[in-house]
Formats: sequence, C-alpha cells, structure tokens
Amino acid sequence: MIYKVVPGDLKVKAVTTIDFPLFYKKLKLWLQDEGYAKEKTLEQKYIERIKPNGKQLEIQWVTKKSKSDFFDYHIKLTFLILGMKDVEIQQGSITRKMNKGDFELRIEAYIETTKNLEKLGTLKRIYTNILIKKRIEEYKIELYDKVYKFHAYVKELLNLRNY
Amino acid sequence: MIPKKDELTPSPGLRINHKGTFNLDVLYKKSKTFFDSRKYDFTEKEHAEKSKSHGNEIKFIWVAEREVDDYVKFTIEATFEIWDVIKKNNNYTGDLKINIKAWLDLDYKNNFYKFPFLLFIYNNFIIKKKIQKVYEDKLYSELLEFTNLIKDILKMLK
Repeated sequence: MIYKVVPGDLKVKAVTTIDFPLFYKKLKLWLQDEGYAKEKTLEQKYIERIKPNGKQLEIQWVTKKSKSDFFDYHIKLTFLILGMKDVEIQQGSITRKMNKGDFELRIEAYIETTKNLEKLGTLKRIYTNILIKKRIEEYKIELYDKVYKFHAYVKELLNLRNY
Repeated sequence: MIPKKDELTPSPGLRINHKGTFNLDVLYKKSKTFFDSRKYDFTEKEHAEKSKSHGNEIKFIWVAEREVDDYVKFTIEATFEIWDVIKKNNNYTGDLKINIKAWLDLDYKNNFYKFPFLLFIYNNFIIKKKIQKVYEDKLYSELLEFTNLIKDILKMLK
C-alpha cells in the first residue's frame, strides 16, 4: 500500500547554465547523507541522446529509506534535460566548463508498506486504520518536511528563489 | 445542487494582472507565509524559470490544502506567470498574471464512494446550510484575504 505525501509530483524547471556533473553529484550526496540513496540501486534509468540542438538526458532515481519493519520512505526523482550544450564561462581569471540547457526535475514522495505488514492479513486494516493511524500521519509529516528540504536544495543549486 | 467539488471561483479562476514594477521576492515569501499561518498544507507543484534575452519567464503553481474536519477540505490553487522579468536593484519589472481558484472538497475521504445517492442527500439537504453559511463563507473570506494581500504587495486598489 502506498501513502502519497505530496499530491502528484513537484516540478522544478530552469533554463539556465550550471555545472551539471557537480549538480548531479551534489544531489546524489544529499540523498546518500540522509540515508535514502544506495549506490547500486539508486539509478533506475539513464538515457542520453545526442540531438542537433544538444544532449537530451532522461534520468530516474528511486530512493528508499527503511523507517520501521512495516514502512519504507521513498523519494523518486526524474531528470528531463533538453538541449544541453557545453559552454565556457569566464569567472575572474578561470575559465569554467558549464552546461547550458533546459533542466526539469520531478520529485515524488511516498510511504510504502513492507511485506511484513502484508503478512498480518486481516489484522493489517485494524493495525493501520486504528492502532497506528496517528503514527502514519507523523510519518507523512516527517517525509513531507524532508522532501521540501530536498526541493529547496534543488532550487538553491539551480539558483531559483526559495521561501 | 452542491457537487462533491464545490467551486467558489468561476471556472477560469480569479485573475489579477499587473504590468510594471513589483517586488517579486516579497510577493513570493509573503504569499507562502499566508498559507503557513493559516495551517494549510502547501505544495509547490511547479517552479519554472527560463532565461531569455528580453527578460526571464517565471511560473509557479501552488496548491494549498487544509482539512477542516473529517468531511471538508479547503483547496486554493494559485498560478503565477510572469513574462519579460528584468531585475533592477531590489525590484522587478515584468508582465504578471495571477490566477486563483478555490474549492471545497466534500467527502474528501471518500466514505460515501459506494453510496452516491446518500452523498447527494447529505450535501443538498442535511448539511446544505452549513456548507453554504459556514464552509463556503470561511473559504471565501480567506480567498479575499489572499487576493488583498497580493493587491497590497502590488500596490493595487482594493
């Protein structure tokens, strides 16, 4: 069973110039530091296409953090990048290689019940709807806060405004 | 007849247009604070900024939801679209269009999903007055407060 934490997904889009490899690495580190990402299972999809107007990338990360025997937190991140080109930018006396393009990120967050909970059979409904109903709400709030911290971090890296 | 999604605003939503100078940072932060202070669950569904030669293009879509009780949920959706944004000192110039929609989600927990007829009776006879006099009035007053806040920031007439 899945409990959605944000309705649909959160979309962040910027047509800008960034250091994409650094951006990619920083997001991965953030998720690893928070205990969500594991190197082997993180990247579910990485598609790169060379187009006349630049590179087109489609990357999907699915992260998991075990909260208890019965619940896992998930943050799913999809990168859609269009027309990415290498550019050189002069910063003082240094010339930096950057990437210009249309960067779109979609963030989803949800809580998933584990197989251990399914084993409870008919007791599952009593357990989730009565006994730990309040705790599930607390879990939702916790993941909601976490996903908004991640959302704010993504915006910060893309030089977008934050609250 | 009161439907399950009881819209308070006309179907295209309320519109606020402003062309000229405004403080986008204040508008952004104060609008978010408005929803936080009224205990809405806030979601930034979309945040897009595009750099263009004649000025940036910015778009935000916000959805704020508040579960009033086990039966009624308030939802306010605001879309901000700004074209030709140019920053000058702390102010911005541009063409701003804000679209706001508000509605009540009745039976948002879907307790009546197997009994649509009962839902109809309940909404249109049993709690009709409460919906119209309490819930709709409350949401409408909050919607007005929000539009007034935006108009204040944009220095528009109220």
